[in-house]
This record gives sequence, structure tokens and C-alpha cells, in this order.
Amino acid sequence: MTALADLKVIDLSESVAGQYCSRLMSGYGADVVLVEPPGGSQVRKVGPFSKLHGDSTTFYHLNIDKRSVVLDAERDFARLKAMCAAAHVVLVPRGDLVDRLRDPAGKTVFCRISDFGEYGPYAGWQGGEMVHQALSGIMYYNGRTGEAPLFGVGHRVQHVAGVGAYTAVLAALRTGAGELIDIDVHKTAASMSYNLPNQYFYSGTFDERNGTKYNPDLLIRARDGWVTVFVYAYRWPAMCEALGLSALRDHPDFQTQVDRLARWDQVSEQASAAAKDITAADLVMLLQSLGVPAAASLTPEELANSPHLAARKYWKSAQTDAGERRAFGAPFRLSQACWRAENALTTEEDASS
Amino acid sequence: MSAGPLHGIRVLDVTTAWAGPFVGRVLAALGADVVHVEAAKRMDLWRGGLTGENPRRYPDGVLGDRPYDRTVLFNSQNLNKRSLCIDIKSPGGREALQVAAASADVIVSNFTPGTLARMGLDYAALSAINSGIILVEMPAFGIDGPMAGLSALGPSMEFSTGMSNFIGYGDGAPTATGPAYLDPIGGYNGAAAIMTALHQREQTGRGQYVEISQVEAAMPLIGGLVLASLENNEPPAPQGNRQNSAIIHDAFRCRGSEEWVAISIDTEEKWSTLAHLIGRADLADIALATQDDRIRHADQLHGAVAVWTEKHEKHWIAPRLQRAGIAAAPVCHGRDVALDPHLHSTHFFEEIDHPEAGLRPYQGLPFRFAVTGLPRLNPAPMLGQHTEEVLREWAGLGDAELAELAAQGTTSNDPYRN
Repeated sequence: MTALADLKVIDLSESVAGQYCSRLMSGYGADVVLVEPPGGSQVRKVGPFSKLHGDSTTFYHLNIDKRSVVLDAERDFARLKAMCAAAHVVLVPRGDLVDRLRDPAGKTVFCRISDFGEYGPYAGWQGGEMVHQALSGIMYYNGRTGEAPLFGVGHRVQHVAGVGAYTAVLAALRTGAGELIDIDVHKTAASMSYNLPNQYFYSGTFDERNGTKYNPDLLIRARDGWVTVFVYAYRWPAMCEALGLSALRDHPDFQTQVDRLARWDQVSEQASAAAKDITAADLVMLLQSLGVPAAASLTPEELANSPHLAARKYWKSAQTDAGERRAFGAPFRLSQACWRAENALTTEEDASS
Repeated sequence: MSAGPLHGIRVLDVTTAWAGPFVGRVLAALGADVVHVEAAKRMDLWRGGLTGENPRRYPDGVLGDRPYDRTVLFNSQNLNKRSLCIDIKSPGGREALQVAAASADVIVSNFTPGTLARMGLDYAALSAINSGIILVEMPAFGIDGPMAGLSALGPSMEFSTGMSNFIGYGDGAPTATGPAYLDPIGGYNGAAAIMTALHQREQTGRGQYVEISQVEAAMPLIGGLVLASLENNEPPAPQGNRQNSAIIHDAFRCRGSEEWVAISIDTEEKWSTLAHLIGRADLADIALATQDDRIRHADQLHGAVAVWTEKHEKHWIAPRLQRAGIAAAPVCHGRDVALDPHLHSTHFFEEIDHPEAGLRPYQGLPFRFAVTGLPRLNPAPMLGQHTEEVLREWAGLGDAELAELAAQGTTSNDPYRN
């Protein structure tokens, strides 16, 4: 059984955010039609590309279990409008397309997904993951001082905007009001930015890039990889003992969490020296057994071969013209509904549906 | 102002710190009736403890007598919720919470799986009373499998998803994002999971148990990168912000101390525009069509841009480049985000009056509902502020029962009480 089997969705969004939103819908059972302009969706051009399949891996990943229909929105406008009227949900990009497609008296929920929304000083700005992370405040604090702040990886916040759109659409369907939702990536990023703006509103303060370190997350280089450890003050002695660092534990400069955090680089160095003959996996288990949260930095290969993910049957494979292809598993598991990852995007010969 | 699309949905929010409360933050902003459950002696970690912590997180830097009602960490992530403070070690408290919980549509917990059951809130018992109930747990690695019992936090979950392996300066050291970037990701995923189950309940009339492994839920966010790495047999090789496919993709130092601007250029045409803007017309016509061209010229072009950005301020550079059609942004710190002109003009921040913190703006959520609107948000609750009213409404308790629970201290909101 699937949870969204009753829904028909039209995706005109032309964005990673929109296509991830409709991927969640197709995964949980909705019938999703991806409408592509002649020449194909812009997301097909988003790198990286698979040498094996010759396509954008992001586009493949985002569009599993959808049907593609190629339509010229201008020339085939009447047909497109009819398709939208017959759908429960339509995802659209920034701009006035929605005004022409949407019948205000209809029940269809429209969700407009964009980088910066419809108005305001940045409304016409070029987005992209780094731009959004820079504006959110999160990027400023990433990486080492003295070097450039790091933006992160991939299109994470754009995916999260898609998750937000998914939530908003399912909420709007409950009212039967034919809602028009707007969601944008810039605000999504700002909503996730810890308490950076809120702290300023409370105390007029903000943290400097090279300021005090507050979080006791510690990077340790083990024999074959890297491990991050969260060293709560009350777990400091346990961590030191596990690594044979009793000298550090007893040193007068390392008696309070504040003192330790001020010398965190030294802690990282000594812990790495102590862990140089231990595998990352063993170090994680050792620290976890003492109640110290620790995790290894996993490579794609390690994720693909993870015994944990295998035991949970996480990975799926989708049918493509060239055979089976790895696909991501359920983002969340419902006891009464399954997650689908069955077929790569299929192209409709006759798009009259 | 509207009641919101989730008006009438009752959510019992048995969560702590960030990821769990973020789930309720999203649902409450959409109009759900969210009750945050705490014990006076085991309050939400983001209340900052009895004596408070970093003064920068308190109104005007003042911790006050009840710092746990004043910290921005808690007050920003629990908007529009109510607080129920109850001691479940007393039989009366345990029973009252069970009855209240059975009247909920959704119960969400980000404690270790099994915590709800120990509180008397297990799915089997509750669904026997209320078949529509949706019970949600969100452990980092899920409820089974060899890693199920491991503890995790935002930065460690980022390592476990594979993300950190893609972030670094090229020396092999992985990097985590922000203090806990996986927490709000878990929060958004949690809200999405709950909406999925609520939607299905409309069809079937039945609730269900929902499990969110926060790591598994976050992994698809880098899905394209992981698949390309596996299919091409190319392990991640991060090189700061640089990307081989782009002409320019980096943060550049600007005038000032630790001031940076992010600039991204992916077409020869845009590079030509930038070359003229920075007074380097001599570089405008370099051939940059292929990835090899781009890699070969990367240092030279990034260097030329850096010479120019160092002379200017980030807030001057970014809009100037954006007007020319180039993706650019100031790398904002906390004050910059608080003063972001676009966020203000699009009403992202909502001013809310809190009894302890006064009238302050708070970061909002990205949703706009043009037809039915969204509710105006109430301030985050003070510890135990709504205990009696929630027990009346959700558990049907009357004056006598409430007085008895109060006399036993079961509903006390005094964390110092013995």
C-alpha cells in the first residue's frame, strides 16, 4: 500500500527543489507527470554526470517513478491547462505561469517554488547552493579561519526546500481550498540558520568567524579514516582514558570545557596521534561503548557496502533501459505504507493522460 | 489571520534540543495545536539548564531568575506551542499523560526509541484507544540494524550520511556544516513524514507507526553526488569551494577582516562580463568551453578576481554582480542575516511578544499560503505554562483532579522542587 496513491501531480517546477518535492510524492505513491519543455528539463544539465549512463545523476535520482511528457507550454497551453485542472497538485516555477494555469475557483493546489520568491530586492537574483548558503549565515562559520569559508556540498538546501514544499502541499490539500503556496530556497536556508539572526535580535551580538569555539566536536584522524567525536564535558575523562591520554586529562590547562575548547587543535592532534593504529570503525565503537557520540566520515563506497544499511534493506534499484540502477531508499518508513523506487523516469509516447 | 491548514490537529511533542522541536515548529506554524512535554527536572536541553549558559543567547545578555524561559535557543524553535510539565514518576501524572496522549493525532519523539514506551506511550496501547494515532520516532540510524543503538548529534550525522566526505580543503580532512546542520534537515523530514501519514489517514481512517532514521532521510540530499561517485568510480575529492565544472566557484576575501563574497560563474559569457567589471578585459576572451580549459585557467582567473574583491566591500560587490546577471552573495554572519533587506521586505521575520524576552523578531519559515493564510504565532511557552489548560482540554481533568495533581507536585513547573 502507498500513502499518496490518490494524488495526481504535475511538475512544471524546473528546479531541484521542485523535482525533489515531486520525487517524494512519487516515492510515496502519487502519479507524477514531469512536464519537460522541448529540449528537456534544465535539471538534466545539472552535474555531475554518469559515465555509465551518460546522464545527470541528479536528474535520474530526482525523477524515479515519474512519467515525462514533453510539452511546449505556449503552443500546447490549452492541453497543459486541462492537465493541471485534472491534477490535485501542480508545481510551478517563479513567475506568472501560475496565474494563467490556475483557476481560482478550482480545487487544485499550486505550489510555486523559486530561489528568492516573487518580489523583494533579491527577487531577480541568480541562486545556486553556494549563494544560498552564503546568505543563510551558515557558510560564514564553516571551515578553518584563515581560509575561505566552505559552502558545503551539492544542492542540499534546494532539496530541503523541496521537503518543505511537500509538507506545505500535503497540508494545503486538507483544506480543499485550491491553495496557492509560495516557497523559496533563500527563506528555507534562513529558517535553518541555527540562531544566527535570533541571537542578534536578543542581545545585539553575533559570533565572529574566528571567535570562541562553543561546540565540542572533535576531529580525529584514525588509521584509515576520520572520526568526529562530540565531547560533552562529563565525557572528557572517559574519552581521554579510552585513548590513553591521561596526561592530557590531568593537565591543568585542560580542566574546564572552556579551557579545552580554547586549545581544541591540541586535543585533536594528540587524539589523532593516539588513534593512529586504530581503524575508524573500531574507534567509533570504542568511544560509543563509553557513551561518547562518535561517527566515521563515510565514503560513497562505504555507504554502498554498509552492513547497517544492508541489514535495513535501505538501497533500492530502479529499472532503466540499460538494466537495474542503484536508487536511494525510503527517507522515512511508515508501518502502513511503502516507498517506491521501481522505474527510472519513463517517457510517454502519447501524453494525452 | 487564518487558523492554518493544520488547525485542529493535536500534536504531542515529546522532544528535546533541535531536530525534534523543529518538527513541531513546522506543524505549529501551519496551525497544529502542538503541546511540548517536559519534566521540570528534565527540561528541554535547549532551555540551557537551570543556571543558563552563554549570555549572548539571552535578552540583552541578561540571564534573569528563570534563564530557561529566556534563552533564544528554546524560544525560537518552539513558537506557537504550549508547554505541559508533568512528572510521570507519579502514577497520577503518568495516567494523565496517557489519557492526554490518546487524544492526540500525532505523537513525536526524538528521544532514544523505547523512551515513549517507558513513559507509557507505546503504539500498541495508544492505538488500541485511538486507532487514528500516528506515533513518530526519529533515531539517527533507525530502530534496527547493527548501528541502531549508536548515539548521534548534528555533526556526527553529517559524517554518517557521507556529506562530510565531500566537504574540505583538499587535505583529506572532512568537515561538518554549522553547529548541527542535520538537525533542521531532520526537522523538515520529520514534518514531511507526519504529513504523509496524516494524508494516508484521510483515506484509511487509521494511524500508524512512523520511523525516521535522520541519517537515511538526509542521504538523498546528496543523492546525485553519491550515485555519480559510485557509477564513475571516483571518490569525493573536495577542493574547498572550487568545482571543476565551473569557471569560478569560490569565496573571495573582501575589504575588512574575515569578510568574504561568494561568486559562481559557469558560462564563458558571464566570465567575459566579470572580466570587464574587474578591469581585466585582457582575460575576457580566454577559451573556457571545456572542463580541461577551466581547470587549466582556474588559479589564474580566481587570482584575478581576488585582487579585485579585496579592494571592495562584500555588500557592494554582490548586488553589483547580480545586476550583471552573475551569481554572487555576501558571505553573511549573524548580524548580516538579521539585517538581510530581502528577508525583511518579504516579511520573513515575525515580531512576537514573549513575557520574558519582550517584543523581538524571530526567523520564520519559508511557506506562504495566498488563499487561506497562516496563523499569527504565539511566543514559545514558558516551562509548564499551559499544563492545566492542556490537561483540561486533552485529558478531560476537572478542578478537583488538577488540584490533587498540583498538591502532589506532579504538575509543578519548579525545577528546584524536591
